[in-house]
Amino acid sequence: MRKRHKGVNYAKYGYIFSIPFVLGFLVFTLYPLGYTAVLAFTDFSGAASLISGEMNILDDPFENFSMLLFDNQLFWTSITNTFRIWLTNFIPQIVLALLLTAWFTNNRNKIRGQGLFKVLFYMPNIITAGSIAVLFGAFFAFPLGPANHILSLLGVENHPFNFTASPAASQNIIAFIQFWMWYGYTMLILIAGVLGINPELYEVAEIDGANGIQKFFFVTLPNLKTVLLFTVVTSIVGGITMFDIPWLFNQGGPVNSTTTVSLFIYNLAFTGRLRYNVAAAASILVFLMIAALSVAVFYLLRDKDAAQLKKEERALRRALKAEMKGVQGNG
Amino acid sequence: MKKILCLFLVVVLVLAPLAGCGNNNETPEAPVDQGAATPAPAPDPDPDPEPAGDGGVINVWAFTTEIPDALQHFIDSNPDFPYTINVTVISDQDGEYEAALNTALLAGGSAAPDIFTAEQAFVVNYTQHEFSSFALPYEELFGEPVQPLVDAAGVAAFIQEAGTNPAGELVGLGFQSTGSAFIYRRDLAEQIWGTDDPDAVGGHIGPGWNRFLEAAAQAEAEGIAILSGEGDAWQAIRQSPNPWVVNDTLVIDDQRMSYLDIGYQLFNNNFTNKTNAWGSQWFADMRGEVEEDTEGPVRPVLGYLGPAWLINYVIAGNSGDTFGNWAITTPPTPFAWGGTWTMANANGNPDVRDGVATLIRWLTLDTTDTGFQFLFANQLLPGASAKDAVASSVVMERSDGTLDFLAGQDMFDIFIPAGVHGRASGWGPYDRFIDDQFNNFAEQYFMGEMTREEALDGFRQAIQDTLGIGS
Repeated sequence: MRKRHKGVNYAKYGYIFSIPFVLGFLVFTLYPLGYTAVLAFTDFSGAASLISGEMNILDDPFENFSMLLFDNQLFWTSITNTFRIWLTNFIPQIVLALLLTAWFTNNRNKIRGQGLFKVLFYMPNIITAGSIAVLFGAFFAFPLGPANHILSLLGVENHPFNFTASPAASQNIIAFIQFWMWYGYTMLILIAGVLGINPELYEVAEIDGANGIQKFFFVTLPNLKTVLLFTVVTSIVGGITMFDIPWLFNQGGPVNSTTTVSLFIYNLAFTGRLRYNVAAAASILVFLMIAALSVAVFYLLRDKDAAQLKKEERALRRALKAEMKGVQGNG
Repeated sequence: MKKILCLFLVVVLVLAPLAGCGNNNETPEAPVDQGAATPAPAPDPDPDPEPAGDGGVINVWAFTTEIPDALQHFIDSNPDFPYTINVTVISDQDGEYEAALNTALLAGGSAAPDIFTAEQAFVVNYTQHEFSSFALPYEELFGEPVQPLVDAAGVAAFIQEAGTNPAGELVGLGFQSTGSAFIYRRDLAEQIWGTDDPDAVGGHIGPGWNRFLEAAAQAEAEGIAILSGEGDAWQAIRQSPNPWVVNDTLVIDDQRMSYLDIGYQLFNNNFTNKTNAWGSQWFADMRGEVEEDTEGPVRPVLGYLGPAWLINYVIAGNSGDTFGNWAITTPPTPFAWGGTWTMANANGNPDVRDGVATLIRWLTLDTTDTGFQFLFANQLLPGASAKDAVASSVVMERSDGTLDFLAGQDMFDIFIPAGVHGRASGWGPYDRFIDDQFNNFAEQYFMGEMTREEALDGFRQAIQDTLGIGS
């Protein structure tokens, strides 16, 4: 008698369906990545290399890296700029997003028109970076932009202030744009995270007499850890690779004060000199930096209880093994 | 049924990305054109368009539609011309055109450009530096000595200079002369010096920048800013006869160094409105709008420094009530700003070379009444919005350069000598970046945020770190 199949095996379709992605990934992601990694160790630079197509591994393979790390102030300036802009945007962003999340998810204050507010807060994220840069460029125009007009109306400043010529002002404006563009998005992610928390926890807390603030700090925040982790890591990646707004708002100026590390890499590779090899080395350094930071954040925000549990479990298993061995040895 | 559906989905999904590739292969400039789909008119997707002529297809690459439109006009009005053109236009925003053009030149093949254009900011890359091997000498293209033709047309010196390769061969010429003038308001000049006569005003604002600063002080005394922003002066001063980079070393020559003093005075003595070029106030200053209630430095502006295109395509349209109240005179130092050079690709399709030669010759060296430059100078091309200065002084001398905007002044009286005095010997391949950086650091010095030494050190460091060019 023929054995009948219990069901159809769909596993192979999984592989077949993933082919388009894998192909795309190999051609458009993995190959450029590998190519960049190789470029960083070569002398491939300038139009001459483009024309001849010649590429040789350098005698000192790490020359491009050591040049960037020890002999290039602008590389370090661009890293400092990037972090300064990222921090001044991310800290207020996460604080405001958490605050709004707490308000929107609190059952006690029934906010009317929640949907409308959420849409409004998310709105800046929908507008393209180009439009936003133009908008803010016009707002902070010198000498007669709206910002200067407001300042003079308020009597704060009698002489117009040239925002785009001031390094500090330019950095802060870009940080503000990033903050303004992304707090709505962060808020939505956090709200989704809060809605995923077991409501029974809140009920229990309420029965125990916890007030709103206590519920937020002792129930919401601890349970939001994984979502926060996601937010922080994606923000780090987005922040360090920030390019569009600094470039569109002020081309990295004035005096390179808003040259982020991505912009610096762009300048290396495409501004006249075509230093592909140095740009590739800088890209790899940035990649390592993002990886290290992400690992650090993962470590800091790890589930300590679970880790503790795992550790104990492992210790127990080891002890058990040792005992077994001891028994065997004695026997 | 289920299985058929599964199979169908699989086939669709697997083929989906390949479909994209298929489309690419049909376009002649596959990889390059795709990535840079900027405000270009869609390039003709068919490599063999209607058989208007059977001579073949000439691939034309440009960063504006100006040259392609001109060539199309030539083809339309010359039914005997057996070739057709296939146009690729990529905007020059952020060096995108250059990158795409480089790729196309290197890739070669049947889609390679036969004619390509370059702007002042990067023309020397294709005439004197790494990519100059792609520019075919005109002599070879035309099959006859080219210098007599150039001399007969009286092509502006800097246009020849920028188009000459290191071997001394002419490989590219422009059609537009961008030698520049001081463009000023007659009523304000009258108020300051009691005259609006171009020669007299030219004697007040130059020659040389010391005279210009004296004139600026005189204007200031009347409550008038001589320029809209100090950067306008940089546009002229940056064009020193000496290059920025000599033997892979950064050199700040005297003329460019002098901008630190000139700019400082313009900025700190209240000689300008401190605007940035292309900013809203810079345009507003052309209308002469003055905000009475602001304590800011916004005052009427005497003038701008620039070529004919700045007059016709920028200032005239933004001048509002001041239209017709302007004049031009010789600037403190000669300079050129912008311009388009036309080159033939040495590796282009040899079958269409005759057609390429005809077109380039018509654009750059034909001084007859049907030549492009005469049509261009006299606003005779379909859709032309203004007269413009052209490379050939012979054509300009034969043309009528009077403009209503200039109250009937003939602009060619100023632009013919401007072309003679302009120099391109200081143009280099990285000018755009170096100029911007210098201007940026100089501004910090003017504002008092940096000392002169700090600004210079910062500038040198930025060039060293980004371009790898030491001082």
